[in-house]
Amino acid sequence: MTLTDRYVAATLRRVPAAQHADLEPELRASVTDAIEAKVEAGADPDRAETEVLNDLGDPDRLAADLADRPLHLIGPAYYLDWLRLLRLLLWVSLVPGAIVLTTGLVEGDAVGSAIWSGVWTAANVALQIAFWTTLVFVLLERYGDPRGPEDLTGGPWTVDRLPAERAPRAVSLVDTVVSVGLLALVAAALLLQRTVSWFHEPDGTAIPVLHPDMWPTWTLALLAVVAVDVVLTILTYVRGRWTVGLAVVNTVTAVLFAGVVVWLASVDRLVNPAFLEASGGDSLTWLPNVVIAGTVVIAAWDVVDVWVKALRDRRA
Amino acid sequence: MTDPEILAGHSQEVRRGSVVVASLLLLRRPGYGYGLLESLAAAGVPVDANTLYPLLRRLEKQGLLVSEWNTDEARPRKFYRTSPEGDALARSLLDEWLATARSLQTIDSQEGTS
Repeated sequence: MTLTDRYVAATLRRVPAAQHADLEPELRASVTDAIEAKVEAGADPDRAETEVLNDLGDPDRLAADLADRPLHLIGPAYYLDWLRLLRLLLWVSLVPGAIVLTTGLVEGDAVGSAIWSGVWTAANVALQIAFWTTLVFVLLERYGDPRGPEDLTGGPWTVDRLPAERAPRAVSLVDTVVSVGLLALVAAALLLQRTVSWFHEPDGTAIPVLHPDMWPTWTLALLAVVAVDVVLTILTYVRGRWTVGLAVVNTVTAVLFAGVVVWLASVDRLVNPAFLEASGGDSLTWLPNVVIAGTVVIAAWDVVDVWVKALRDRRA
Repeated sequence: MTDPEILAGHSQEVRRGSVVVASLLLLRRPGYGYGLLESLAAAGVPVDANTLYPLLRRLEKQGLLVSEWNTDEARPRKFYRTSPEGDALARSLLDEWLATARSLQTIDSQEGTS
């Protein structure tokens, strides 16, 4: 293998396979042409090859340029939206942090360790929010609608651009932050109910509200649906409105979440029997039915609400 | 004396668009990658290989260049030729370039008089 072979291989590795047949011989011919020109001018062949390839530079960079791919995670078209959204969403991480801190204090933990747990939780949630928000924008940067190259190169900004650039949003930032906050609460409740409860065993361990069989499979499945919902909420904010595609995904997640909850409740695997017992016999036997009814109503309302918004905005 | 790096940066900004115009004008006669690189250097518009080759592909994708493989010689080469749209664009860009140069000269000659 010559240096040129290795260089061409390194470049092609980062170029879509469909372009290889065309790109490989062209790159090879260009490199060979350049080497020959140097040799004819009196250079040593090996030196000439090294110089030509050094001039072409990092093969990954050349590949990105040849395939017209961005060399940044988030470019100027999305950067400001990403920054604004992330700044606001990060406030959400204080909610689970505060919950953990409060429950720690209520449970009688040492103040220092309760604060530490709260800060640790908030930091972890912040990290998750930052990661998923950034991931959505990175994908948009690569596969999303380009917002028209004229936005990037169209000369000086004028106030005439205000309405076009920032079309009035059907989905406000407040809506988005509240939705993500509620989803974070659901996720926190799903996870925390295993260790924080109203009732305790004689030895002090908490009696979870949810059936022990739910962990880990069904709890994690529900958490996964919540995670998809978070991504969906962020995407909807970025698009500025509910589209038919987003409404379809929302319907699927709502049906999945409600379906799992209703099914588990109907086979008596949702609420922990020990929890019902500890609560004092029959006083909470109505709980599964309320959960089923509540879940169905909330899911149905969510699905219908989103479809109404999506179809209305499409007509607008 | 200006810092050479600052000078190089600004100089690159000024020349950036000229490579597109020069390539489209030169490729009205078909040419291949390295050949064009040399022609550009000889014409006083030097450009790096790793800038030119991606540029050629982009211009082709935009329909301003068309390409054809020439396999008559020992080394097959991809020949690019300026399309009619590319030719029209190059002319209008050239006009713009010249108009800009005239404007700059006018500004320069009025320097200190306003």
